[in-house]
Amino acid sequence: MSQGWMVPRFQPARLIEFAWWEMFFFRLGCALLVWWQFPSLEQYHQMPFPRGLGHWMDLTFLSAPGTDRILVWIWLPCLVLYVLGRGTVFTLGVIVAVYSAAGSLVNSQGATSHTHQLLVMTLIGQWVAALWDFGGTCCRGNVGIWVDSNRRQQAMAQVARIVISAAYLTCGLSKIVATGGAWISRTPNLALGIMKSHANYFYDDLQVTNPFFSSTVPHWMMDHPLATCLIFGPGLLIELFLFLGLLGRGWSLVLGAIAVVFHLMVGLIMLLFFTAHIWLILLYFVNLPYWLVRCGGALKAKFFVGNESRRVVEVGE
Amino acid sequence: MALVVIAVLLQWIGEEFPFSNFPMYSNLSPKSDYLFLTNAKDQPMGCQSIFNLKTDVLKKMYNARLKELKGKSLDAVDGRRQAGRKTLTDLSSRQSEEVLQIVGVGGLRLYRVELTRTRGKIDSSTELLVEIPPLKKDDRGGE
Repeated sequence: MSQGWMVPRFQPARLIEFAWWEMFFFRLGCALLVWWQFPSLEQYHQMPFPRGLGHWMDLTFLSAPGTDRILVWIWLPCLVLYVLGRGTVFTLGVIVAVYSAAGSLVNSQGATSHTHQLLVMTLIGQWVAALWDFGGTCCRGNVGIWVDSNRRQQAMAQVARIVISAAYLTCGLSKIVATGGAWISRTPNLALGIMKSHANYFYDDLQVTNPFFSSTVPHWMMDHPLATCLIFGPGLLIELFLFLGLLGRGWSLVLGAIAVVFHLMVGLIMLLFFTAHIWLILLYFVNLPYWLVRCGGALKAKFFVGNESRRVVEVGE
Repeated sequence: MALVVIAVLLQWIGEEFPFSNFPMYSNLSPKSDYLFLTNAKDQPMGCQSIFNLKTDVLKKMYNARLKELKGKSLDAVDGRRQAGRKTLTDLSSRQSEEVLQIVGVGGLRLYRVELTRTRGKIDSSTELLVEIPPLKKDDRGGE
């Protein structure tokens, strides 16, 4: 039996060539995420602690009544065109500008949220890749601003994957820098973080959380610090080595799946849900549509083509 | 190469939206704290359900105000109370009349809980940072 579809192939340091429909799914997923995650701005009438674009301009106009409706009319067509691979150089620029302004306003309240950064950075990466490719085509005298060529779409997908990997790498590096390399040995202190997360969750809506995670687990961690290091320590390794997923589809699937499980565990234990992060990894690393098509193709080849060739042999006999 | 350049740039830029070095849970200290709100009778109030603000965001707002006060010569308790007062003032300034009415009737207290890991055990201590007492009937418009 051919083991091509059962065992992920580990291709050494080679860029993956994506099919057009894979890249369509990437863009569709990103667009849906933008639509879903875009923050509501009506309560932000001031910017006491300016962040990002807030350093250069007053963004409170975005919270004015009716602005969200105007924004939708500007960027909904841009999202549709982006999904269709049309005029990305312009449309993605608009999406990036609007989302960056909205996120800067939200984060200028003195409380930094990490819900939106990875998604916006992924969009910025794609936009820069599109601009880069557009610059290249201009230099060759072939101005292609409207239809995104396969080459441009490939570049956007590759850069999105690199940006996600870099974000996880930098997250791991932050832990190493902040603790002088002692993060894993300090993981028993995560027990305090777990208790805090559950308390925050309770005081949000006065909904009682699962006492197993809010109390039993933290106290178990206090009693078993070494086991805690062994269980929670690998989280750091996942962040540091997600970039190995860039090596090939097999690596991408395995490391992507591990990262998704890691996020789900964090969600379960700490009630911290990084929805955009999970979806971006599912899209760009796990890439389920590809594996479904590949498995489907392999099954078809095994059963249908197998039967066909058997019938040919029988007829021949 | 691009991966390393982007990772280093993100470290260098830090927290400037849309960029971030994602410092969540990077410094696992043996101390941690959280805030919560109650009315004047010490009954907990849902921060999200009443003030449309998550409790962890309230805490981050408080931390930012505490950081602002660091240069001033205040003792730790006074610093925390001033930061708490400023946080509640800013929180109130963006609330609707309806929410302010709830606060006016029931009052509002901001508490801080400190969790400490000492000798393999978790200790917790609670302190009242600031209190907005309920308004008298006359101040509420003679209900």
